Amino acid sequence: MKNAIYIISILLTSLGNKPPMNQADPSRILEELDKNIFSLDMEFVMKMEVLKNEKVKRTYEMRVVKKDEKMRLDILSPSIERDRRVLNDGDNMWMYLPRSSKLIKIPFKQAFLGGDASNRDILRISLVADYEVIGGLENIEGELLLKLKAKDLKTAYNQVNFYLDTKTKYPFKQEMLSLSGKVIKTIEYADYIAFDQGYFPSKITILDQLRKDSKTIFTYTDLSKGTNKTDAFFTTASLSK
Amino acid sequence: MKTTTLYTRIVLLYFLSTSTLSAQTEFSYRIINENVFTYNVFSENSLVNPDNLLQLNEQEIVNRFFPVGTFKKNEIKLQAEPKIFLNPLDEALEFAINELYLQYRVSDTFYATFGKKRINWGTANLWNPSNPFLQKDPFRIDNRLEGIVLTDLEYIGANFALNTIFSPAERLNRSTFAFKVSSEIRSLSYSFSYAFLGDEKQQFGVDFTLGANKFTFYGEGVLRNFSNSRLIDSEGLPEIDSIQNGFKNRDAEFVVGTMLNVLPRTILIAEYRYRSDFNNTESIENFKAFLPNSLPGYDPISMGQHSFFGQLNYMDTYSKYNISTNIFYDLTTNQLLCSPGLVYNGDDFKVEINPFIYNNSLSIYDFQGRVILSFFL
Repeated sequence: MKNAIYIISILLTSLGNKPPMNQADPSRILEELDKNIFSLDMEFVMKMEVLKNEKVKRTYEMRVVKKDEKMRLDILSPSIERDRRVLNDGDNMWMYLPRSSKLIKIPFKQAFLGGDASNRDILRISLVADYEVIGGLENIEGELLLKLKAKDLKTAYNQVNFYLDTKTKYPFKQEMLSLSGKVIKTIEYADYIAFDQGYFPSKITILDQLRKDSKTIFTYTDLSKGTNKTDAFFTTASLSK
Repeated sequence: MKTTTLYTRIVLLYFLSTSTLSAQTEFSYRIINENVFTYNVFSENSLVNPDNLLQLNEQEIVNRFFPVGTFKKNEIKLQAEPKIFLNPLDEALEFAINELYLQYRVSDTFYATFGKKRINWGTANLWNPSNPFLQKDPFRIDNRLEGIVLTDLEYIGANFALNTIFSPAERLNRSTFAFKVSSEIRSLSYSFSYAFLGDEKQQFGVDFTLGANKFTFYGEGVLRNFSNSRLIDSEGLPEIDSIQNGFKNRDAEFVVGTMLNVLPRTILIAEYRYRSDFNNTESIENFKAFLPNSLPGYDPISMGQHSFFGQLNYMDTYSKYNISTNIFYDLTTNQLLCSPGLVYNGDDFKVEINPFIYNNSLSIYDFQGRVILSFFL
């Protein structure tokens, strides 16, 4: 409840008051996005809701810790999945299954917990490492369009388009495109809250464009900058501890 | 019996002690209840179980309870997982301890564990030859296995991990000592292991996984100076395989497999297992000829040198429904088992439905139907 009041009060006091990211070239904006949102060392609790026709079909809650090139996710609920853990150690993704004490390496493009997002969508660490800017910033009807292209075929999507707020340069929409240029998924960034002298989107919605009746909503709470977890916390051996 | 009584006392003491915990401690628990219903249709032509020689039941019901408690305080973690099996048809009650261990975190990179714990070595899904301690139940790999009594010292470094395990027996030369070194080079993870299993039995193991966008490829194998097989000779007697002291004539067992992401929610798993010391065509004929005396060497899935496992698995968008087809095939013995499966996952319960369809004269059953209703509290 305290958190909710805190978030609401922050939102009310911060409306129209977002400190803009540095005005710079598109590459600079990409770096800022990466630094402030995607590859920030942090801890938070993430709620994931999978919806069909606006009705919640499945809800997960998990604690997430990000550090450098690594990310670990511990599922807190529902009861059936409690203590399942997922690790991106920079090169590989692993899932620890507490029921059988089994550790398995999982493919990047597998659907994350069956939802609209892939493992790579959720556990991606760095935008800069995977993508490079193509062209300049385009101003389309009051929105800035930043186009990115995959550096190699290892990434999940060939092209990514970011739609940015003209003043703050924070993203409010992201499109993921296939090799043929077709939009496969859309991500909406909303409910920005004050965080680390800037802002952070506390609600992210992933829409699968091939399945219009389905969407996955992620809500972030208990955000804290940095982490005191050591490198050992992000190893496969520590997943069972 | 004595061990079970001792464990009961320790578990009771453990749960009583947690009622007076200070505010600094962390205690969590969960209760897992599995209700297993099985219906068996016996094979009339079975060579292994003619006229139901083994006196197996047509119906089986087992209620399994696993109350799991975890207590953490500072650097100490204490975990207990008793298991209580209740068979209402036979009015039988079985009690044992799956896990009961104390883990001490010496530092962020060094852990010491004492007690009874499950050890999960190896990368393969169904068969784990490199694990010298436990082997999974291929009919249900989710089964909560009973751990082993051990002292486990573990170093978790940034570049590699080292695991040493000592599992005591009545006499030191029958105890097990094992260690494993694990590391990775980009998307290739690998480990090397050695185990002394008592009575001069030794095995050297290796495992690896290679990860990619759409698949993972994995494998594991061992070289042993002893044999796990129960081959039957032409006289109908079990062959005695002596322990080899040199590196020559060692028995090999390995598994290679892949998990392929066919579609985002559809996964194909395929595994192949080779065992140098298992039945060839000739020895399987010996086994058949001397049944039921050769029954101790029976395996319902694979008795030969070459075994295959395949699974096609589809999960719906909400992770609620899971449909799979599982196939086991043994090339030498022609043992074939098909087991389609349907799983429904609620938030705190799960229903698993599995028919098992057998097609071989070695099979005990023509058909088995199994329903498992599990609750997670």
